Amino acid sequence: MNLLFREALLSFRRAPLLSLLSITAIAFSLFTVGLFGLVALNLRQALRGVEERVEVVAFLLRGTAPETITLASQDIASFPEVADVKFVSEDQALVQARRELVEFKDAYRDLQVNPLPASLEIRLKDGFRDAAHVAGVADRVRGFPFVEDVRYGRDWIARLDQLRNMAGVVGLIIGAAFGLIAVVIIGVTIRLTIMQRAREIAIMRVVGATNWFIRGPFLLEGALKGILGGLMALALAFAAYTLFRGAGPLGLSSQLDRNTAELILATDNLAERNAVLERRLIDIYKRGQLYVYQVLLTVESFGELVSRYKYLYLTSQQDRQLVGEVESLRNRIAAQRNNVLEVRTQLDRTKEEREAELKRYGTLVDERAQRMQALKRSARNTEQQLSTLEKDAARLTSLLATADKRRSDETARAAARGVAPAAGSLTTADLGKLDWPVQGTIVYKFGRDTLASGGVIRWNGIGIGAPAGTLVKAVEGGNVGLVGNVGTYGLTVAVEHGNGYWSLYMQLQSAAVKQGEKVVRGQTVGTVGGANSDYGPHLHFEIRGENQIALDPTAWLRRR
Amino acid sequence: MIRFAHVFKSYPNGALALKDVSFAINKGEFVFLTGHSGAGKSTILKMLFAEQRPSSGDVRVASYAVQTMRGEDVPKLRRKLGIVFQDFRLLEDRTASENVAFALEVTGARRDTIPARVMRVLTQVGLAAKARAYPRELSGGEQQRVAIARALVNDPSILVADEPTGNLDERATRGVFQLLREINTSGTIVVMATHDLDLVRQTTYRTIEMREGAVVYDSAADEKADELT
Ligand SMILES: Nc1ncnc2c1ncn2[C@@H]1O[C@H](COP(=O)(O)OP(=O)(O)OP(=O)(O)O)[C@@H](O)[C@H]1O
Ligand SMILES: [Mg+2]
Repeated sequence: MNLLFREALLSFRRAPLLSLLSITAIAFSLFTVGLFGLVALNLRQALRGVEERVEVVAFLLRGTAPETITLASQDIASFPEVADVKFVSEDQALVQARRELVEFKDAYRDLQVNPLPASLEIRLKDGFRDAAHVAGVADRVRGFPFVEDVRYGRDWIARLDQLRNMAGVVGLIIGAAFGLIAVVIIGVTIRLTIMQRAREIAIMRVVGATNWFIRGPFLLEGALKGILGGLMALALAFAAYTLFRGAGPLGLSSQLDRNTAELILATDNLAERNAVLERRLIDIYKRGQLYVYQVLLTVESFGELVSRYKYLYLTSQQDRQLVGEVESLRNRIAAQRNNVLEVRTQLDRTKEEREAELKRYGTLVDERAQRMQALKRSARNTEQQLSTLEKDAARLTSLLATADKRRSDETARAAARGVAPAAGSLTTADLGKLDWPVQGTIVYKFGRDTLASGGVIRWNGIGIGAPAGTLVKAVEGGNVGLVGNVGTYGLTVAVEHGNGYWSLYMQLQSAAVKQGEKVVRGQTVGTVGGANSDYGPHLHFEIRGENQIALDPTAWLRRR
Repeated sequence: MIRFAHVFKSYPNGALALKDVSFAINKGEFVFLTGHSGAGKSTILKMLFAEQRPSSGDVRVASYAVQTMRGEDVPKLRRKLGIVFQDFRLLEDRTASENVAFALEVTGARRDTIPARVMRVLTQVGLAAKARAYPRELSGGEQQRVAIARALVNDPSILVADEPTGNLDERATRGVFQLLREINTSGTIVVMATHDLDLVRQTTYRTIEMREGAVVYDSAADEKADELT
């Protein structure tokens, strides 16, 4: 026995190249045989797993009554093909989507409102899981009015079936051919060795070696070559396995990753993004079942080659749609905002950079929200401001009314005593002839005006900008009817000119007259103030007619 | 030990190599087989180790009937013989001692006894010093002695030598012949085909002469005749 091995190994030593060549040839033949065998085997196994999970999924319209669903479930469960029916609520759908669709996990987490539909998952009995029965059940389920959509994996199951059969047949033929080749190669190399060693064999015969003794080493040599070839084939198969295992799922996730990133990145407008995303997510969820099978196959199977084919087929439709959607989305948004361009060029960046981009985008949205809030806050301020201005104006008017009342009462009493009423000092004859109370530019005009804060106001007078402290002169003689603070209008001097006419000097820094004093035209009544107002130092000047009606002072003042 | 009785041999191509050959060789004999080229000497020797079988007639070698023996018995027969050829037939990639050991290994001898037995026969043929030499490093005479050592290592009862000195010069021829005589002296039958008539005449060994497949002279028959006359 020992000798047998020595003799067999001797032939390897004598013809190492020939031995190596034949072993390699055997290895590749066996590897091919094994490859096809494994592929066929795996496909069958994978398909069996898939067949067990074959489900028809009926997605339900939102708001379908629970009783209706229960009744329908029972109805469907009584179909002869159906094994069981499982109701998946909207919430369960979301949980499931988050768990199963790993690539879109983040997207599902970010949802504010759950957009996913409830569904009925229908599992079929053994023997009814072929494409025809699945389609039949799906059609009948589609007939229910509250069923929005029905999904099932008919297409790719049929395709997989086909592929399996094809792989089986092709594998058998090619396997047989390569098996034969392996046998021939072994035969030829042994034959070669025999010829090479004819002399030796002759001598063996002469010295009395038995046939078995002569053949033994050759058989052993053949066996060794076969075994070595087989081991090499195994190593090759293992190498191929690890190679494809590494490559298979990688392409899948990165592609989807990119699509998702594109989807999210490309949408600048928040509302639009949500709408698109929601629609996409519903879609992806509905496709989920197939998707999971696909992942199942990639992960569990050894035949990575074929799962790649399968994956390509499965995802082609999905991706085409996805790409189309993203494309149209891009175009739409590109028209609206040019900064999307910039975002899109950044798509090829590393993941970190993309994340940073997303974050920046998030802060942008935040900022905008903040600005909006600030704006709202300032609007509220404006309103407040307006209302105080109006309140103050009303207060002034009522003060004037009270003064007018008092005056008219006094006039009436005087008339009763026989005193004729004094003629007013300010009449319509003065229109356009009055001197300006202070020289300066008009900072706001009489009537309707828009405030810096955005609010709209009706001014009862004009604003005349002038350095603080400038002397303010009475436009006409009269009685000082009022000296005092009127809210936001500040220190106010009101001069009564008779017949209900008043001239009002407001936003004063100081008053030079006292209530009840008589003033003459051109007399100083105070100094310009209002430095803290929105308009800077200025005089607020009003002229009031009968019944405190505000008149446009520019009509009365001298034209410039 | 060896007996040919009315042996005929025709090769498949129709050549009639032996015609009614009869002789017997007894224990301890040294026999020369002579004759012209193509006379049938090698054919007779090949029948001795069952490489050829007679077309008719009876060939017996060491209790085996060559014409009827089973294929699996052929190695058994050959283990009782030692065979030497004109062209030595050594394995070129093995040393002298390995060539000799090969014959033992092939016959399933106990491994631990092999080196000693190899050295013994190499010493016997006078080549102990060249045990580790390869055939190409040996002269023709030395190579033939290695071949003889290989033939002897199984302690054969018959040594078959087909023109063992055919490729050797005179000195080497004498050395090899001397060796064969010594072997014969120790009781082994030696059947030697040769063209070397000088060699034949040197001795008084039995000579069988062939011509065109027939035995034309057998010195043993002469002796018998001598005895008779
Ligand atoms: N294998 C064979 N097939 C056919 N014919 C053969 C074969 N071997 C020998 N012969 C023929 O048989 C005859 C006897 O041959 P053999 O070899 O016995 O002669 P020989 O006496 O040994 O001659 P030599 O002295 O040249 O060796 C020859 O005519 C030869 O041609
Ligand atoms: Mg011959």
